[in-house]
Amino acid sequence: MNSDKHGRWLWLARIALAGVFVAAALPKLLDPIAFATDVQNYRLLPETLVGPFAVILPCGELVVALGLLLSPYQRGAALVGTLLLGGFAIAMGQSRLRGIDLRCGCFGAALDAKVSWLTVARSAGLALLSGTLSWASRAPAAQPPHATESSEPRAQQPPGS
Amino acid sequence: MLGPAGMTLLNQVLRICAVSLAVGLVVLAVRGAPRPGPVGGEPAVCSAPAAAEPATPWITLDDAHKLSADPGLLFVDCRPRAEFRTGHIAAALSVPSDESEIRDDVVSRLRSARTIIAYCDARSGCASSVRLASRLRELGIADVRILTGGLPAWLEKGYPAQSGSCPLCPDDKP
Repeated sequence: MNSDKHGRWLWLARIALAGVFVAAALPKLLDPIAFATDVQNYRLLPETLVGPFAVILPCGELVVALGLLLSPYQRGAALVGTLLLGGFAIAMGQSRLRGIDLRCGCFGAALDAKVSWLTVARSAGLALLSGTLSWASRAPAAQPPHATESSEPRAQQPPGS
Repeated sequence: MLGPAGMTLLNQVLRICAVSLAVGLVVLAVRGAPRPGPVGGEPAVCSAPAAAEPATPWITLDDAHKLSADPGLLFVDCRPRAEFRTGHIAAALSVPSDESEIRDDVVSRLRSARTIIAYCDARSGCASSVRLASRLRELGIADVRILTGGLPAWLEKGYPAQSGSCPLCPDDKP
């Protein structure tokens, strides 16, 4: 019962996180120039890498979204998602500390939000959620062999013997 | 060493990264790499014109004021020298954007700053600041930002300003 409930919450969180990644990726792919401009304004990458990064990153976000929903890849996708979101939070945090005034580019040009401590906290919170999902999606620990051995013969004994 | 669960996780992560890279490269090959352009992001008060350089970040008045205590920061006034003398941000360097050349000693002074905040009178979408920022980047000075709203907005906030000549300028000693 508890396990079912736990599983339902995990799925809900995975779907929500996948939705966030899809919502973040699509506007970037639809308006790559705007996103490339946002990336360039962070001043973290050499100019030659800005264009390719502006295309590859949203593709990665879509793949992570897909991975979160595909059974064998859920844990890995959540871990990659954690790294991505943690990276976004660090990139935005350093721009705040350096006093650079820029658009966050988090959801492409769809949300014209400036980088603020709120956007940093949002990314950090999502990274935490993604990390928790990765941890919670790990395979259950195998039962110790002696426990299996001691229970099986009893189960196989005919009734009344 | 990683256990079996760790190896499985690493395997998943590597696969996801490889697929992401492959998909990204295909999209890149089909559509080409986007070139950053002046699309959005600029403040309404002093929005950049279509011909603006794309890479110049803007800085808000409050952030600029907070940074002004930093010794590595240099305010650069892009207006004509006569306008500079009537009033400018305290300790700013006058580098009029309408002058064709920037003197070598001024360039040396600019290079010694860690961060430069260019400002002007905010007319024509801060065109003077954008123009000067572009020239400074051509000189290899990377960290140049443009003050949102320029000098009028700075004065309106009551932040420190002064009038007179430019003590920092090699060609304008009092």
